[in-house]
This record gives sequence, C-alpha cells and structure tokens, in this order.
Amino acid sequence: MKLALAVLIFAPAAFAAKEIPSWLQEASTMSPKAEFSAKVASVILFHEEHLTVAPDGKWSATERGAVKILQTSRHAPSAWRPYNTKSGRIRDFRGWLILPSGKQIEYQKNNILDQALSSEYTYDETRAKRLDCDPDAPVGSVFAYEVTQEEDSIATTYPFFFQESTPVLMSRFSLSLPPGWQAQAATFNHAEVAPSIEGNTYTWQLRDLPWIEPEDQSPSFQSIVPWIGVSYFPANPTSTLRSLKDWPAVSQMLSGFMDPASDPTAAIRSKSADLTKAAGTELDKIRAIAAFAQQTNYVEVAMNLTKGGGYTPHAAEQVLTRNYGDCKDKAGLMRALLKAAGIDAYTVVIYSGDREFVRPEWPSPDQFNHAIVAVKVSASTTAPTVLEHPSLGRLLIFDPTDPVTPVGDLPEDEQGSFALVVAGANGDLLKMPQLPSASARIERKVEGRMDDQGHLTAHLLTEYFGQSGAGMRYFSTHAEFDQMKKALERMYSRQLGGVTLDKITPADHAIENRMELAVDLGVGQFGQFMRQTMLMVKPGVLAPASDYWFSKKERKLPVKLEPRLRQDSVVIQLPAGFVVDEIPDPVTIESPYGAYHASWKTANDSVTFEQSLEVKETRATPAEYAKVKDFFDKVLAGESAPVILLKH
Amino acid sequence: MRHLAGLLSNSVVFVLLAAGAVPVFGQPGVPIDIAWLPITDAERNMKAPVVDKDAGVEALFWRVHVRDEVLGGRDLQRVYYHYVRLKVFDEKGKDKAATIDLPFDDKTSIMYVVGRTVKADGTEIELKKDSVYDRDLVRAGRTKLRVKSFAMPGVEPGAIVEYRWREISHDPRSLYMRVQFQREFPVQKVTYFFAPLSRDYTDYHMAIRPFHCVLPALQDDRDGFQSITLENQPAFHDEPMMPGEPNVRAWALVFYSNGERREPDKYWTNVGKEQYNRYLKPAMKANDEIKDVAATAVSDAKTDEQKVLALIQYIRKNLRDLFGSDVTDADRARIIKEMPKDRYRTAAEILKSGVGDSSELNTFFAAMANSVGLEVRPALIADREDILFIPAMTDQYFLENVDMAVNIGGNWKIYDVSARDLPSNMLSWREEGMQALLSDPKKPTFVAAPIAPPEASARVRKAKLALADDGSIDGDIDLQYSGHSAHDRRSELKADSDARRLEVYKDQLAKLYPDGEISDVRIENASDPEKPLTLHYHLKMTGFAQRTGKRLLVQPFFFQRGTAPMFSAGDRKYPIYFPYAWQEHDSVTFELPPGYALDNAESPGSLNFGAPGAYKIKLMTNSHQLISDREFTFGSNGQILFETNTYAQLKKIFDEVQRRDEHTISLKQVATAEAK
Repeated sequence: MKLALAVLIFAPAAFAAKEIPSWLQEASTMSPKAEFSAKVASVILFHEEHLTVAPDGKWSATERGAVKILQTSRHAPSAWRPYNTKSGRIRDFRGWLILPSGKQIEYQKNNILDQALSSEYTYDETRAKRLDCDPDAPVGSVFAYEVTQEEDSIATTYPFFFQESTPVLMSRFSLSLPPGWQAQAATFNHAEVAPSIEGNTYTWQLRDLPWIEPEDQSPSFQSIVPWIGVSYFPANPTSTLRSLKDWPAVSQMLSGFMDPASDPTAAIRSKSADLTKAAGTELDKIRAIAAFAQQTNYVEVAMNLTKGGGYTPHAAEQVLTRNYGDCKDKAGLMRALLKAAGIDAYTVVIYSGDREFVRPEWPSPDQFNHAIVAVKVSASTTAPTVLEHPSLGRLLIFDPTDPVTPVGDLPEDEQGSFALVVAGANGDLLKMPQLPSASARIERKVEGRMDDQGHLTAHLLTEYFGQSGAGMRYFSTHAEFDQMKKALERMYSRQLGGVTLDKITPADHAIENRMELAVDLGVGQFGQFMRQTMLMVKPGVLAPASDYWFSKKERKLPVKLEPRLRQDSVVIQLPAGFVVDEIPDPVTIESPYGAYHASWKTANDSVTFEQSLEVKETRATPAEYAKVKDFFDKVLAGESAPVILLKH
Repeated sequence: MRHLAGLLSNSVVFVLLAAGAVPVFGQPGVPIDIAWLPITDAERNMKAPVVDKDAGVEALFWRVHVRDEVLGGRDLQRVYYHYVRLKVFDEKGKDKAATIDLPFDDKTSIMYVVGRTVKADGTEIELKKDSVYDRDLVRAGRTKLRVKSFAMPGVEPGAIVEYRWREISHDPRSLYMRVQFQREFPVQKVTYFFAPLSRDYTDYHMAIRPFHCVLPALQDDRDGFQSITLENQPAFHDEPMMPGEPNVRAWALVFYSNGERREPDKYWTNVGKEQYNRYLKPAMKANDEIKDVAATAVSDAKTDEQKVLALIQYIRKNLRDLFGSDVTDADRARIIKEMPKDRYRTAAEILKSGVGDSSELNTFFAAMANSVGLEVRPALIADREDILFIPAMTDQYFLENVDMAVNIGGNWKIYDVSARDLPSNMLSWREEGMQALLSDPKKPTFVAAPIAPPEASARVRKAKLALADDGSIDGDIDLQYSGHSAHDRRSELKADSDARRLEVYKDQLAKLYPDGEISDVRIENASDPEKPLTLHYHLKMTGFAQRTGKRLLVQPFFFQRGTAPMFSAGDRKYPIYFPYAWQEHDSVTFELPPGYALDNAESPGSLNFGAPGAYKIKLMTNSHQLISDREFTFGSNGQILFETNTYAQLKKIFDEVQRRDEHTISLKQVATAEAK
C-alpha cells in the first residue's frame, strides 16, 4: 500500500467513519455464491435506488451502492450521479471505504468531483457528481456510496437498469408514491419482475445477476441487461402531471410541447414559398424543404430537460433566423415550412443509435433521444420510406438532422425502429420503414493491369447505394479533399500494402441516392513472383466484402448482423506468358445468415474474380455462433483465395 | 505539471516590480476593438479561399491585442483582445464556423463575447448574449476546466462570421506567452498587437522569438501598441510520426527581456548557479527521516550504480506520481492546491505527502542520493515533444523538466525517477537526445542525454510451430520486450493483478488470432522495468497457411503477418521523427507436414538502408523444417529524425520491408516416396 491510502487510513478522526449506515453494514457482509473470471475486477454487492415522489411531481432519489474489489485493475470503482443544474441538485453525497481489515473510512467532501455530463454539447445544463475509489484500495475492500438527488420534474415514468456489465448480488428499485397514486412496470430482457408492495411503496428487485462480458457484434447492453420501465399515475392528473397509460397519452403530452413551435409565421411562409417556387410536385416541395432543413446547422442543445425542454423546440422562425438548432428544432422548422406550403407533418420521436431500443410495452417519453419528421403525403408521392397508417394516412418518414440522407431514405439505425408519431390524441407508436438490403448495396468494379515486376495499376469504381453511401457522402461534402485522400490511403494501404493513389473522384448522384467513388491506384507489389516461374495473385483483396470477423472464443451473447449486400467484379490483366496452374473452385454458400458466391476465371492473360455477398439481418443465439463464424470465415477465405500461375 | 518555467517567471515579476518602484496603475486604458471593423467589398464578394483552395472557411483576419497591466501596484494582469473574422465558402466551412468553443482555466477569465454573422445579401444577425453559455468541464477543489460555447447564428456559405472576446489572465507566472499563427483553418492575416508594461514599471521590453516562421520587425502602432503581422498562414494539420507540434507549427514566444544579448555560456552558467542555489539546493535538503530511509534503501548496494538503482526502486515503490493513474482527480486537485506557489516543495514535504510530480520525485531522489554520499546535480532538460532545444536558445523557459545527474566514476549520468516503466538507466524518449543543463553552485555544464541504442529497446520474438497439411499451426510463442519497446505494454499491464492481466492479455491475443486457441499464457516482469517484459503463450490456429488444391501457402515471417505499412500517405509536409530507436529479432521454426516440399521458394532478401539501420532476413529449410530469421534495426547512432524531403525514400524503405515481411512460401504436395 502506498502512502496516499495510508494517509487516508491513519488520518485524524475527520477521515474515520463515525458509523457506517446499517444498509452498508449488511451489504458488506454479502459474498458471491460463485467465482468470477479474473477479468471481473469488482462485484456490486448491493445497489438500490429509491425514488420518492411528492404530490406535485417533484421527486428525490436516493441511490446506494456497495462494490467489492476482487482484482487490482486499472479501473477502480466510481460512483456517479447526474443532475440538472436548473431544476435539480445533489442534496447529499457520502462515500465510504471498508478495508479488508474491517477499518472503515468515510470520504471527505473534497473527494467529490463535479463535472459536465458531456464535453460535446454546446448548450448543456446537465452535470454529474462523481466519487472515485482510491486506485490503490486493496483487494477485498468495499467501496460504498449514498447519494440523494432532488429534481423538480414533470416526468411520471422512470427507467431502472438492474445492472450494467459488472455482476450484481442484489439490485433493487423502490418507488414511494403519494396516497392514491399507482404504479406499474414493464420488464425487459428478463422474466417479469413483480413488485412487492408495502403501503404505497413498490419494490422491484433481482439477485445474483451475472457478469456480462462485452462481445463484438452483440446487441447493445440495453437490449441485454434486465431493466424495468416504471410508470406512475397521479391520483389527479393535470396538464403538467400526466398519467401516461398508453402511447396516445404520451403523444398528447409531447404535442403540447412540440406543436406550437411549428406554427408558420410570415417569415416562414416567405421562406417556404421561396424554397418551393420551382417545385412541380408534392415530392419536389418536400425535397426542397427537406434539403433546407438538412443544411440548418446542427447544434446540440440539452436545456430545461426536466421541464419538457428536451421535447420543446425553439420557434421555427427563430431556428430559421439563426440557421441552427438541434434535432427537434430542425424537425419543427421543417414542419412549419411544410405547413406553409400546404403540407401537414408530424414530429416523430425515435431512439437514434439502436433500432431495438424502443419497447412498445412501456409508453414513455424516456425511450427517445431524437426527433425526426413524418410528412403526410398524397397517393401521388411514392417513396420507400412511406408508410400507411389507418388514421394518420400516408406518412413519409424523414430525418432532417442527418445531413446526407435524402428524402426517400432513412438512417440505417432508425430503419425498423419503433417511433412515436406525435399527433395529439391520434399519435401512435409505429415501426419505421425498413428498406431492402438491395437499396443499400455496394458495387465495385476493378480493372487492373499487372506488370512483370508485380506492380499493379488499377481503376476502382465503387458505387454506394442508399445508406451504404452515407459515410462517403458526408466525407466528400464535409471533409477537405486532403483528409479524404489520406483516409483512403490508410484504408488501401492496410488492404494492399504500399499504395499510391493517383486520382480520387467522388461523385454524388443525390436524386438517385447513389454515391460514386472512382480511384486510380498503384500497388507496389500486388502478386508475388516465385523464382520468376510462378505467380500468385489474390484478386479478391481488391474488393473486401465482409466487415465481420469472429474469434474462436466461446460466445455468451447473441450476434447481431446488419443487412448488407455487395457485388464486385475484378479483372486483372496479367503479364504475358503465364498459364493457370491452380484456380479456386467457385464458392456458393447459402446460410440463414447470408449468401456468398464467388468465382474465378482466366482468359487471354487476365484473371476475373466476381463475388456477391448478402448478409441478412440476424440476431443469432450464442448456440448458433459457430455457424455464423463458419459463414464469415468462408467469405474471408473466398476473398483471399489465390490464383496460381506458372510461366508458360 | 509544475515546472521550472513557472518559478523562473515569478522571479522576473519580482525583478520587474523592483525595477519599477511605482506602486499603482499601469498602461492607460485605451478602447481596443470595441466595434466591428468595416467589411470591405472585396471581403463581401470573395468567392474562393485565398490561402488554401480546398478550404471551406478561411479567417480573413485574426487580430489579438495583448496588454499587460499592473493592478493595485502589484498584481500583473495580461489582457488579450481577440477579434476573428471568418469567410465561409461552402458546407464544410459552415460546419467549422457554426459552433465556437473558447476554452479557459481557473486562472483565466473570458468576457465580453460578441459576435455577428453578415450574410452574403448584407443581412446582419447578432450573436445574442444569452446564447453564450459557460460550461465547467471538471470541477474539483479549485481546479476548473471551462469553456465558453456559442453557436453563431445564420451561418451559411457566403457569410462572414466574426466574433470578439476578451481573455484576462490572472496568472502572475504567465509572462511567457506563446502566440500562434496557424489555426484549425487557414488565416489570411494574423496580427498581434503588444502593449507591454511601461517604463514606469520595468526596464524590460517585449521580445519575440519566432518558431517555424519568419517574422518582420515589430511595428509601432496606434495607442502605444507594437504590432506584427503574418499573412497567408495555412491551417495546421498534424501528421503521424511528426516532431511535437511546437516543433513544426508557426508560432512565436513573446517574453520580457532586458535587451541584453545573451551569450550562451555566460547565460547558462548563471542560470545553472541560480537554480541550484536558490531553488534546488534547499529543496534537496535531507532531514533525518530521509537519511534513514535512504540508508536503509542502499544497505545492500556495493557500487554507486547499485545505490542509484536502489534509491530509484525505493521511490518508485513508495511514492506515487501526481499525474499517474493511482491518484484520483480529486486527490490531484487537492495536492496541487496545497503546493507552495513560490518555491519547490522540499524533499521532506514530498516524502510526507507520498506523492510528487516528476520534478519533485527527482528532487526527492537527489536528497536521498546526497545523504548516502552520491554526488548529484539537478539536470534541467527540455521535452523534445515541446522544444527541440539547443543551448543557443538562451532562455530557461525551454528547460521544462528536472532530472538528476549522478557522478558515476567521473561521468555524469542522467536519471529520471519518474520514468517508472523504464529501466533506471533510461530516460523517457521525450528527453533523449536533448542537452541537459547540470545546475551547479560553481560550474554548470551541459550534458547530452543520450538516445538509447536500438538494442536497448529490443523486441525479441520466437515461435516454434508445427504446420499441419490443413494449414493449421500449433506451437509455442515467446516474446521479450525491453526499454522503450516494453514501456507501453508494461504501462498497460502493470495496473492489473497477475490473474487479471493474464486474462486481459488472452483477450488481446484472441483479437490478434481470431482463429486461434490460446493457452499456457505467462507474463513475467510486468512490474519490474529492470528486466525485459516476457510473454509466453501456446497457440493452436486454423487457417494460418492457405490451402489450395495441391499447395500450402505459408508466410514464414509469422510475427509480421497482416501488418500494415508504416506510412500510408503519398506526400508529407513535416519531418519524420521516430520516438526512439529499436530493434526487432524474430525467429520462427515451422515443422512441415509430411509429404510437402518447397515449390519455387525463394527468399525476398535483406535490405541495407545505410546508417539508420538494416533489415536482415534468412530463410532456411531442411527436410522437415522451414526456418525464418528476421532482424530489423532502426535508429542506429541516434538517427531517428528525417527531413521531409527524405519521406519518399523512407516510405519506400518501410513499404519494401512490409512487402518482404508478407512474403509467401509455397509448399507443394509431393509423392510420398519423394517426400521421404
């Protein structure tokens, strides 16, 4: 033990814990039933959050935790509680360290850090208080904390995650409500957890939750760990304190925040008219307005969150004037401009980043982190992102925050996600359109010539359709050419060894939602000559199709595969005088996870490689892992299969 | 980190005020950039960038007035008045100009932020005051990192965006000022205006030392300011393996000077004496406790070198690094807050706190070493990532760190206790190759901190693998890393328990060999930098060799399989600076499967690239084995810095090495009798 902890231990009485709370006394005696992998640095002995709601909706939450250190590691435990600087505060934050010897130490107040929640947001009033355990606390120590947060909130729903990846012996959420109020919860990623009810306090708890080791290509942790979505219902709901019993109720609440901002003003009408003056059709009008909303600068705003600020856009005219806003501002601006053009639209709230996140079983605004738009369109407007709703009609879904996804397409992570169309009492949770994988395919054609030293010059033409081109489109419009060149040089160097890029020509065919990238490159040594009598070339490395690889480790989590489709053709003119000695057999694999076809041909001193890969959207169980791995191993083998030629 | 520069600056403040002897007030206040400057037609109509044709936004000008003031007769304050005018040309420029962050710390205030956007049609939109948001990033004790954030309104291609702000530095030690001429976007005209303290307060005047730019002489400007302007400054973009940013970017150091020409020998002699006598000698004093601790630590040591090693090991074991991962943010803030502002902490204070920054740990080492009879001198040394120092740079500002030199057998050897993951006889690569000033009460001298030879940072890797006819391999791998080559790996591993680090390393190997099964993992000397870091594992892996109809294709250089070339960019702007010299020695033995023989095999051959190093490979076979031996040495004789014009040649060398490393050998199935 180094001196710092010694100082803490042997310090005057101010440091020593007067008396640790009884819950900690009890928790510190708990021990896990099973042994954990040495990778598990700590186990949470006890975690509890107790939410107490006042009749006016204000709540206070007391969070308690006790973490036992199992292994010395670079990640010492830490306690962390966010709060809103405008509407809330951390009323109390205490921390303790119980050493294996039984010695109890209470942390001083100056051990508590106060930090911004995000270093990214331009406007953000959320902060967090943090207490770090001493990095040299010995194995067997218990780090514990108790923090109380108060919030003046209008929320009547609350999510509680029973764990993250660390194992937990006891995890508990309690809710104390005013008399006459009621609560219910939906359980996710676990069999239903029924509450115990005592008076007007509800308690949900789980024990012995295992360690969840993060694994590549697994669903997000919200889709794996057990959690509950809790809703509580005031005895006498008001317009600010609502009972969110179903999705229309959530819609009605959000409409109250969102709709007023999108009333068109004279300035909005004028801008709308200007934008749509050359538009012949309804779709043309929508495209013109959508493009304008997309160019509006995105600025992150996280203000007044607990009072509905997270759902309240700035007035559309203000957004128009400032030409900046966050997602809900951009959605509101687009709605106002459309309305001025005679087209109705709704704000749609969605979860960006994980299409599996939103659960229909829990009507709550807490499930969303993003706002997009549903445009009410006539039968004359057709697009892959139009969906039909029995009462809301034909809705064209569009995300104005994404600067590179045009009308008729949706960001990949939003496709297929549940999202709430905010339309007052008529609002509904709908599954967003999911486009076929062909609409986001990649096609590459390579024509190359190899000299008798193994140097290759090649022209690569890659077409990116739909979402497959979003990244490239963003790069070509938002990065400087030199940055793009350097990124491509890095990518091709990794694939092919020393390369030179002679010409890079991106071309955006936005109306067709297609991006094109033409590259002329030279590869110092593409094939390998052996004693000048044998030549080995791997044409597939010019068109690597799969971005999946899996290790042999035992799999514990499901495998999540995103849909992909790509087709490639590579033709390489070889130096004269070589004849084929070995050429790979054609590959045809059909599996529940995808299909792969590859073929190699030689003729007239050239070798031709063609492949197609379709990856099906899949959530494979851990039991299927070997099959998933086998499929992608075969794809990788195909891509890197060599053709062997001998000097004639 | 608290370094010498801070203490030096403080002494200058003292000199300044003593020279002044006037108790109150400084420069008369003159209004500076309190209104927008007129936008010219040329600026309004500008359609394309001037400095960089690909830039989406350019600064038409960036002007900063810097004024030093004395408040209340004693406190020095420096005020920067910034004014930036940007022209937005396209969407990518719009993104860059749309949101602005002005970072500052707890010794700086940012005030009076104003901004406006003037659209191409002449419409003006002011930045609203309530749109400027003040955010604290970290708040612990009194240490704050903060930022003023705002989104500029109405930003669109064709618009002119301009903003001004005032930055007030309350740090009395900030008399050295780095002024930047290159920004994140190109700047057509950068102007700094300086108003130093008047003659009423000091005989010193402001001096400028340019770096990586040629500056014109200071021009007398309005209101007592002197100005300097540079035009057409490209945006700064970093490159991999470049020298530290201040060694390539255009900037200038602005400081107070008495105007005397500093003759290097005389100047450094004075600095070396003053630093020793005034600051370091008192700090290095050992009390009885330190003497006892030191005596115990060296009780088994026979030679001076052994004593040094014992003391270093004691400190590394018993004192924590203030900026290391074993000190929490909150503890760090509290310790910094409690540090004295006008002197070094003494060795006794450092021992008592159990924690110190790198200079303090070295000071403590000196106190211990002195007490056991070693001759020790504080060695003031530059960080080469910051400044490639030469003694002709006659300003102590550049010698940022304090190491310790010990007289071993008549030669001064430099040690840095704080370089915990390196052997005690090695310095951080950031200090290697720098001249260190040995402070001394009588005759300070410069001593070169050597660049460790390649063999001091060796990577020795051995594999003995059985190759099966399905392409799989099965065998043992032994790795050994020393010096700088071990440093990063050791830093990663040492924080974990023995059991945990094995599991973490296994995971890393599983990523390295997706088709591998890893067993028998062993790690030795993870926490002992005096010994090479040794790693061992057993690997079973399918698909290592590629199986065709009748051949097996094997990459004999097992450890280089799948490595990317060192350099990918076709062109280069800045010199190439390898952090350290290193050596790789890899030997791999494949037991070949029965029934296979070499098919047109050849060795790609060795490469000799002159003085910096060599690439030597051997491929050998016998009836049942394929053996590869590869030795790569780079940075011999301290050659680790290469001018930009050698980039193409250097890239060619590394591309060629990578190509040869990827060499494939074909094994062909032969008739069984023949194979026998």
